[in-house]
Amino acid sequence: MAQAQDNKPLFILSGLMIIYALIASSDVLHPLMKYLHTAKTADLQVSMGFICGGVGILGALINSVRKPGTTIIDRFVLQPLPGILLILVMAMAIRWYVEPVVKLISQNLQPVLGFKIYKVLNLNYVILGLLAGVLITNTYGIPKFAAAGVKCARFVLKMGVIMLGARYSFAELAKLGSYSVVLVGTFVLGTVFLVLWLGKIFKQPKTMTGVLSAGMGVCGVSATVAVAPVVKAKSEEMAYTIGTILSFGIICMFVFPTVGHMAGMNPVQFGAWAGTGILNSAQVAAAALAFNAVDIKTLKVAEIFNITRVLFLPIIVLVLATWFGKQSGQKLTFKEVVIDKFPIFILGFLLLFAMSSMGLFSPPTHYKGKFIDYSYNERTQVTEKEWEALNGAVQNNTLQGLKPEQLAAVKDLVAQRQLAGNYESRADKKLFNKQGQERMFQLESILAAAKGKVLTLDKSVKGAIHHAIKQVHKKSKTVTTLTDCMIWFFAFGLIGLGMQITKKAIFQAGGWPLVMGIISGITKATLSFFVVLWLVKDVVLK
Amino acid sequence: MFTSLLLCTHGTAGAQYAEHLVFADLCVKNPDLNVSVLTIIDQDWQNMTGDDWLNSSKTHTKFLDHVEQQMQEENEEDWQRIKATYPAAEKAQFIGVVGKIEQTIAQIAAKNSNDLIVIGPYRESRRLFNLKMEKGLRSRIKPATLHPLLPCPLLIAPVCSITG
Amino acid sequence: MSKDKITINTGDAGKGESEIAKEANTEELEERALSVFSSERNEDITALVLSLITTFIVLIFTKWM
Repeated sequence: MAQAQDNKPLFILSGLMIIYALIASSDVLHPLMKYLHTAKTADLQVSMGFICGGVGILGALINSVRKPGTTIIDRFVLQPLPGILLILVMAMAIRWYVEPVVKLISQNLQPVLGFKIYKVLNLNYVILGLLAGVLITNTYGIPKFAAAGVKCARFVLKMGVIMLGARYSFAELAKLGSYSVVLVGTFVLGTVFLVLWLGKIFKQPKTMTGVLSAGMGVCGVSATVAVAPVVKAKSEEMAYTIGTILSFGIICMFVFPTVGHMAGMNPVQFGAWAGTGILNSAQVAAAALAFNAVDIKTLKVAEIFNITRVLFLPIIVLVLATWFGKQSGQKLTFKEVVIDKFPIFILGFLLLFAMSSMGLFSPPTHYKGKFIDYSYNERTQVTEKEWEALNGAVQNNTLQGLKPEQLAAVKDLVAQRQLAGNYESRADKKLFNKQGQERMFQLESILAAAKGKVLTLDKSVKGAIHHAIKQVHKKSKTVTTLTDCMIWFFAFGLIGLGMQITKKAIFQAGGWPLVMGIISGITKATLSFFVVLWLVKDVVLK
Repeated sequence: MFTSLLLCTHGTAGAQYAEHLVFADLCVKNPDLNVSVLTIIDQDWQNMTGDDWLNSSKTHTKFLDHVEQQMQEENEEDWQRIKATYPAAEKAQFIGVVGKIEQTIAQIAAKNSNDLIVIGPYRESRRLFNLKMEKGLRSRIKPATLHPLLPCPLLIAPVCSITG
Repeated sequence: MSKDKITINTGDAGKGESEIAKEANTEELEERALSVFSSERNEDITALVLSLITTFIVLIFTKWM
């Protein structure tokens, strides 16, 4: 596509970013950020604005000076750049403005509705991003200038998975791996056979049960797309199946985290359940991040399950190919299915895992990679629930018997939602850390006093303080930065993938695939729910 | 009055009214009528991969290749059905094109210099609640998109009883 | 769809040995697999290389500097 590119959107987008960064770097926005609880990310907001805006302007300038060609730089950098920037602008706006606003609105609506909307629907930035993507595609449509960039979403998500590899230890990988092989193996094969059996009962053509069983069993649309040519599915079978799987998956994305919270699942259990029960693997990632977007424990578990499913996909393709091979007259070799289709990004995942295991990412000056970090970070914060417990205790004056300095430390913890120094002294790292240390000492003394039965603390308050202290015991800076990058990749990828879900595709749902899909999908989700609760108990993630 | 006619069909019940109108009525009254039968493979098939991100482009292309081949085979079957049902269809020209529905109709009509386009009447699809499956993608012709593009008059066939 | 559709030469594939319409436009569907990568190029490898680059940039800024 060597046509002249329209540079205006790129200039406008990057201009906006730079202007925003300029405004944010002056302290004008500080009251607003404080109101929205995003003040801690102010520095990141400024630097991301400048860097992305700068790259955008540079790209736009290059575009307007040189003739568009078909070189690698053209295809992979210059053409997708406007779209990439658009998604980035969306991601930043959603993370720093839309999500906090949604939280505030649903907090204000709580007296009217009786519940918090964002809690019930898990409307965090990941889900909001995906929804924003879906919304744009189905209303205005993906803007022309962004089309090439949106197509990058797929491999950005793969980059996210690769980088996630840095976060596992050998023990975790072994434990989670064995669980996922057992669970995914059971439920993949179980669902495939259930659908094939249902197809027999309802007297449906084998080609249809072929695509549907792969889709319901392994990884949703991905499996359907991979299997359809193999079993030579008819047009209506593909359309109905994909529509059914897409709509089922989107419902799951909202239902799973809510049910998980209600059932009191821990991150590992939820990750295992989502990884087994949700069909589309992108939606597994989204649901895991919806369950808990700050802590990546759930994502870690869910992705292992995802990877296991990806590894199961070629096996299923092979099985179905032999099943249908006689009819379609198409022969598939082991090489064609398994080796050609082997997802190389999983090797990348393992590579990062190996690099991390060799200690490449742990800081040289710190023993065994752990140290204390008071700097502002979403992953340093206490959870929403813990914050409410603490806030309630402070508001209702239930913290009896604390020394004034101890109470002050708790109050600051409530105000900042994490252990830290004073916000004003954040530029002076030494002072800031000293203040943080002082507070941590006070909090630790509270816990010690509670343990020694000098004072009695509510269990939830004790847990919250404990967690707050634990949260500042950090992995190495490298690992946290890598994790930050990874979360952005996921957010980016999911917005982009949201843009590829069209309502037309969803509305293809119906017919026998819908009936059989609902039966097998609900069976799978329910059964795996109980199996996970029963089986996955003892895994503890760092 | 009209000499060259473009019949848009994809084999659904609604489209069959259009087929009936053209081949059992118009062609019988006016045997010199030059008919082109157009079946469109919906461009939106490429969106059917949805939020799949695991497969590489190769798998996607393979999937789309399969869709296209499959749709062409199904179109062929459909055309055979038309030919078998209406003797007048024997000399019609059959065209299969990949593209967006409205744009393709307009483009082909302009290219073939047809002077009348015939489509089927609006029809409730009720796809979600209907166990009987219909071929291809569920898709509607959007009048708002099609009408400004029209190179020639558009005729919508009435609902009638098809006797074959 | 009328039930009494005529049988076309089905071959052993269960599908018509139909000749493909001459005017069918194959290019448009093939052109877009909804990826910036043409089918030959392996996007996984690019993703891997890019994440390695990101990793090293992060390493440079957080560890080696």
